[in-house]
Amino acid sequence: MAANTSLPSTLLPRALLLGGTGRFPFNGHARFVVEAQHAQLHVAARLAASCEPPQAWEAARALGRGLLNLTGSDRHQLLREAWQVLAVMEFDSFSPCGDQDLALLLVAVDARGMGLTGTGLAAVYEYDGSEGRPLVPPAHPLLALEGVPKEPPGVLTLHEEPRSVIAAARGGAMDPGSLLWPLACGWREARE
Amino acid sequence: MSAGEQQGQAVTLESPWASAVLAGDLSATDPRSDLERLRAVVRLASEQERDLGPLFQGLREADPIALADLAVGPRAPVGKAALCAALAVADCLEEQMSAGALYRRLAVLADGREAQVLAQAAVRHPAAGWLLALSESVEGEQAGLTHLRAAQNHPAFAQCCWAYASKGHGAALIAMAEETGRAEPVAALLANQRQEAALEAAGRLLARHAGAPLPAFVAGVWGPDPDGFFVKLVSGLRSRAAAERLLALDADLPRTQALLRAIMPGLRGRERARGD
Repeated sequence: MAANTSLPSTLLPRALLLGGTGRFPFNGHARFVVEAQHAQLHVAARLAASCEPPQAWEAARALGRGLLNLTGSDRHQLLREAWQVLAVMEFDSFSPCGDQDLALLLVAVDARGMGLTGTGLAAVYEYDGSEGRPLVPPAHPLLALEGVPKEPPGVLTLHEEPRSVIAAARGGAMDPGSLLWPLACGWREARE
Repeated sequence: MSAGEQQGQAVTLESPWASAVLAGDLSATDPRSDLERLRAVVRLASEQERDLGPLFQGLREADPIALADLAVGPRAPVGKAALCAALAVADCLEEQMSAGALYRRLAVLADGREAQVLAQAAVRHPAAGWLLALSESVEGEQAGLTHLRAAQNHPAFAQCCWAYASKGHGAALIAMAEETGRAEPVAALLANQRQEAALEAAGRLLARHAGAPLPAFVAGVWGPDPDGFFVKLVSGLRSRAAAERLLALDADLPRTQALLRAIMPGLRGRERARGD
């Protein structure tokens, strides 16, 4: 879905999700930025990827509509509000697999730093413009969550902000190989 | 069977035995021991374009292996009569050999009616991978058109589109997008690095069909923000109707929609000038 974003289109998004390995690698993918007064929430998500493209597209748009009106005054509040919204979303109406068919990377940024949370993720990388480097070890709690918890999960705080954070969803993600990593996330502006 | 025919002399179609056989009456015939005589009847009837349907139907019940040998074996006749009769018993022939081999052989025997063979193969096996090679040999630059038409309501339609796109057969995919309003051909072309063909297919689809789920399919292969693809599409649009349909799509395509609003007056003027 398109982003309601204040980012200039030539800038790399702060949150990206690698495409999948199937015929429609970006089925159900969404990427957008929520602009609050003193903080931003960068969202990269994949919802209802097991469904046909029209259903997955609608699910991704619904996710965007659900999160776009957050108003948190800092990155912590933004993340808490996001999880509160997610907790009441009816994921069963998007996919037969409900919230198990959700992969989500939330990157919240304010003047004091950057915080990451997510669900349905198999790996998270920091990306500096050349290649991704693992940001957390495989056993990290950021990679442990599936579905949407009742209470907001823990936040990984980064004091040195990477240019972008790229996540791989559970269930198989594209190996960027010789591709530019953002291109493997469906970020097409990089070559335009 | 006449004495001459029993002794292996020349078979004539006018003999009572041959007439009975051609009518599908095999009560006086053992297909295996009379195979060469039957072959002679098939060859003569084919040359004279006589109806071989009843004989092949009779053989289907009496001896399917003999039927396969006569209809598509190494010495099977070339021509319309034999081909039509063989296609009518294709289900039986498919039990004697692989479907791919059968239809490739029938295409060799088709004598200008290869399209008929391809059409039947596509209807019976819309998901088969071997249809691609058969389509290429029969349809040339339009490879895939018959197959994709037959597969358009089959679950394997997307898979078929991808197969033709991966082999560079853009013409059939463009035609299918225009003909059916399905978005899979556009996505298949895009996924296989055929962006110009994908744009052409999308433009033609929009010129004829409203409400196609184009953004969903394009996003599935392009990335979560397909606005860039549709901006490229706008610059190639020649039809006001297509532009209006693109504008009416329920999708978040801000750059596309802004561009469309800017060019719509020009499209109107151009169509009036052409008398559209």
